[in-house]
Amino acid sequence: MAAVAAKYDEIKARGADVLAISTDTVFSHQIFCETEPLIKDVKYLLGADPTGTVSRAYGVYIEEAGIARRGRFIINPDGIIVAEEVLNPPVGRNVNELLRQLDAWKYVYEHPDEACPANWRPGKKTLKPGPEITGRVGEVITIDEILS
Amino acid sequence: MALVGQKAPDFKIQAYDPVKKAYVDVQLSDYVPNNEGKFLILCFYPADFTYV
Repeated sequence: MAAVAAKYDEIKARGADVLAISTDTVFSHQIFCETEPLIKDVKYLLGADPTGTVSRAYGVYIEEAGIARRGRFIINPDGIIVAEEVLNPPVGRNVNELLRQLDAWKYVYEHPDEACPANWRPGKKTLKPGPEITGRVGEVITIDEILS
Repeated sequence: MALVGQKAPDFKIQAYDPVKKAYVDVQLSDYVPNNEGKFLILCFYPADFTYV
């Protein structure tokens, strides 16, 4: 939460918005925003899902605990979920990986005939899937290029 | 069950807006689908006042 809040400007600069949701009420969200120093600069909405309806719909609700797992969904401009990462509560996410994936998902949304190989970042080589490269991807991109 | 590749489930809930310091209604269609090419990062977390 705090890491996403701190990188919100970079997320917005990539043409994306953020909505955070927990099973707390809006009253809890308000006091959380007002008291926790790590999220005092949060600028996106904190959604309240006290019935767990939304958390269940996204498959992140923990029935025994009445709370949601850490679940991060990247939803494209067509409303399709293109990536999800779900973690059990005690380990946090990597916001830099979120930014990297957002760059890649934006790229392939704007260039639907291309693909971003592992570790892709803006400026790195993309692939054009098709019969020309089937079975010889390694001639188009080297493992050193992928890992660089 | 993984939801990747599927249409994001719709919802309409209350939210706290820390900029306006107000309680507001929010729904998926406030964000997507849209014609401006904007993505939505939807983040669930266990509870306010937790640690990571």
